[in-house]
Amino acid sequence: MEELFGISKTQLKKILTQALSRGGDHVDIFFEYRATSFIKMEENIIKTTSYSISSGAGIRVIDGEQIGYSYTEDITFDNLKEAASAASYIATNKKENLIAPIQRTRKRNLYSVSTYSIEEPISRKIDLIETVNKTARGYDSKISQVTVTFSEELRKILYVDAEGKFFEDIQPLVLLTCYCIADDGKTRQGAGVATGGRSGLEFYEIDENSPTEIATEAAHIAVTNLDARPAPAGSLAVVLGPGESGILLHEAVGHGLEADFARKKLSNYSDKIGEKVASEHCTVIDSGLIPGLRGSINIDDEGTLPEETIMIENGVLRGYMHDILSARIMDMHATGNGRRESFKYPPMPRMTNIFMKPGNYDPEEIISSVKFGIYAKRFAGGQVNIVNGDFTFGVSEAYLIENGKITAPLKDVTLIGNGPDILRKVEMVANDLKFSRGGWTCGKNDQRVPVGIGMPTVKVSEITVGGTKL
Amino acid sequence: MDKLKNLAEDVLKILKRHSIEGADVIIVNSKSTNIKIRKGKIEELRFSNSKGIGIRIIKNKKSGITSTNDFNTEKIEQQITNMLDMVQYLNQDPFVGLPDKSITGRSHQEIDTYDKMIEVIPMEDKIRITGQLEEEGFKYSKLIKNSEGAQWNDTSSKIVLASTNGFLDGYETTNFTLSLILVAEKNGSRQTDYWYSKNPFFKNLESIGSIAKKAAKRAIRKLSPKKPSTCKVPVVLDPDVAADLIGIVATGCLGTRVFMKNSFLAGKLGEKIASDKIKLVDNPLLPSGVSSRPFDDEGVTSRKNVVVDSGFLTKYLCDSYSARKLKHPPTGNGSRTIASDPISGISNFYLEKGEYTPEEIIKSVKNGLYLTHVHWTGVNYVTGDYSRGAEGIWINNGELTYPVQEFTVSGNVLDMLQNIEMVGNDLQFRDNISAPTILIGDITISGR
Repeated sequence: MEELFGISKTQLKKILTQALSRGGDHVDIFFEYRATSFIKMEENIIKTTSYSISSGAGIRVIDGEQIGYSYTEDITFDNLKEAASAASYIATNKKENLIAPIQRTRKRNLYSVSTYSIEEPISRKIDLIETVNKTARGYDSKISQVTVTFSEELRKILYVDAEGKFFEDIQPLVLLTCYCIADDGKTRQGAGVATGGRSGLEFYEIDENSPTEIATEAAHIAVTNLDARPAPAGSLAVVLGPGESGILLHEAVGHGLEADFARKKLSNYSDKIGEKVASEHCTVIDSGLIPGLRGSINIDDEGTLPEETIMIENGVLRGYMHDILSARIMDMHATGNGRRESFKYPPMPRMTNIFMKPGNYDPEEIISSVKFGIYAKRFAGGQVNIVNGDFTFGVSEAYLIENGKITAPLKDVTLIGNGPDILRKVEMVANDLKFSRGGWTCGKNDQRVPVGIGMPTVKVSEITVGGTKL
Repeated sequence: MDKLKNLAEDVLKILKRHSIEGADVIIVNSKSTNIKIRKGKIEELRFSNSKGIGIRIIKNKKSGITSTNDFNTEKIEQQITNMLDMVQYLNQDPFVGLPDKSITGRSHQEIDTYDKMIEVIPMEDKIRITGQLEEEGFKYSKLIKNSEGAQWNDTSSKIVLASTNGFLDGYETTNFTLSLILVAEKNGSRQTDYWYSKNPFFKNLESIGSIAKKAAKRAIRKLSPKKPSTCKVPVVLDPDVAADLIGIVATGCLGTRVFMKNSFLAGKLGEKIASDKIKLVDNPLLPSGVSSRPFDDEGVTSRKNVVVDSGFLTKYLCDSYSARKLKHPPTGNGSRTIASDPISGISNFYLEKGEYTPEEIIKSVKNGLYLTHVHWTGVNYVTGDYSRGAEGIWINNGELTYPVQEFTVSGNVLDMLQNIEMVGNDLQFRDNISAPTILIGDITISGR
């Protein structure tokens, strides 16, 4: 390692020294090169494609709880020195820092890729897209519009800090999406399904990820929803389907367990370690270690190895997700959750793949235990107020449960409630943990990062359902 | 600006060396400063200076985009060559193309989008103002116990657009934002709320006293909420929630959605879609509008578009592609990032004000809801079905009484538009979508 993005070791040392000129507890430089590509088919034609490159380097200075950040998109010694000087603005502790010799940090190996998708010929991707389009249109004559997209990304990152930590990583990401509109002459309904992960194109050779599978699924939901009835309104028992329901865990519980909110006493879970915060059926885990998932990373964006972090164990709060800053302030260990959108931003505690540990029930047993309620299978997204835990979710695929059987499809159901409250109302957890392969992207403080979610079938005794039928 | 124009011309020269039908180039350079102060200390100070060039290449009725933040022309040429290879694999699309030269150019109506203040406000002042904003919030009441911080953002952008049709022009914009998020606590109830002020001109920002007071009041009035019963009642939408509803209509009338029939407004041109009281406007020439611009992202001349007039849907908002597809006159609503195809997008979209004061509107409700927040998700754009998590204040005999939370409001956007009974006179252009207070007849509330 003589040069990094054209910057020599000696120059790096000078930049780090510049960044620490006013003091500070930590400084790092984060280099990134990202190539992304996108192809879209619409109205039966491959309509558009795009290819983008973005690169740059950011410098972070931490002094106590304060962060200074600046970056450049033209990576030269002078520009980096200028960025270092801007980032150092916040530092006041005048601490004398030594720059340690650079040493390569250990990382994991979670992306099994033979050839990076972005380096594969475009014709292979167009084949995938055309298969999706053909399958979706062939599913039912009511399918009137189909949009298929394929997006891919290759992110090369490189990190070095004053403590001598150094790593590089190359992170692939692919995503195939299908959106169908069904029209029966009276009404129209749309439905989308996506599948992808940190993998190469071989991902789509696996049956459950295959282009025919996602096309069939999207077309099926759109056609089914044509007959959807207005949802009942009020408090009802809700069975959350496996996989996709993990979004509820992510929004309603996960964000409150990110240590930046927790340490600032802005979370419902602040100061509650050791307390019972959920029903004994609930064990909530964040794991960046599951090979190929969207949220999995060999190393986080500040050099910590991701791990399996148990946040809630049998209903008891055990810990939070940390970056190095929150870990230092709270005197806990960094959990490998320090992530950033790009070189333009400093890292903060972010989820990787959050999931609930499976229980002992058979999913059928759970559904048959409900007299009247809702089966929520697929979600459009959600929002949470981290301070008090209140959440809202849009359910894009939902069914009525009557006398223990799934019956009619329901129109655009919204679930509203309080995260911690819902976890206390979890009555049954099934043995069918599933991870979503959808294109989940989490936004927090303007930064978007890819994440994974997982969930077994779960019964919640009651959630407020927003419907129109009184 | 001249540097960027020169780059655009250099890239056009490269493009013209290849046998193509046409191409356009968009260059954006944005600088911003972000300051976040929490509990009196700088939590984050972030400087940003980003640039990028996006090139749309049209060859043989096929169109591809290539973009980069590296302005080295040799590398750009390499990307152009690669894109020309990729484009071959697309299918021909008869509607692909640049906008006709006759509809492009800078608007004759002069608009001012740049505030020179951005160049002179010292860093120390920005930090001081942001700190004072949070301090004022804490001072407002003892019930304000915590803060998610006060934030300053200033952004200046240069935008240059050039095309093989001979278009070459650019403009500069500024925007300033001051925001504050506060946490109020009383008897174990904890509530958070925010307020912000955003404007292209520093002098037009609300005073820090006013922002702080609103953020604090909004958090405090939510303390100890009740969950309402499931019922059907008249609902008053405060300007933010009304703007959210209007924003759904704005999205629904985007040409890109309409030609794909991915909108509840598809096929409804000329029909009465809202109550007589409704006039919806998209105006990129709005003075001090946060999204004002002399031309759109394809160079099409900006003009004011009345989208809904006396309740009738009169126009869709189109980029040049969707306008051709829908045989719709151009509206100047092309919107793109450097990395994406132009699609339709709004500029400054608003509901024209009515005659009633917000107080008169609230007074007119015997038993109903004053809606202050709706959560995102819960809108089906194909059908217009609307089901949102919400927060508000219950109205009893024309008076605001106790806060309500943990419920949803549901209906269909088209029904809601028809049922708008009163429109307020309190329109303020706070952001790119704005509306006054409105009253909607019965809406379903799901709670207890």
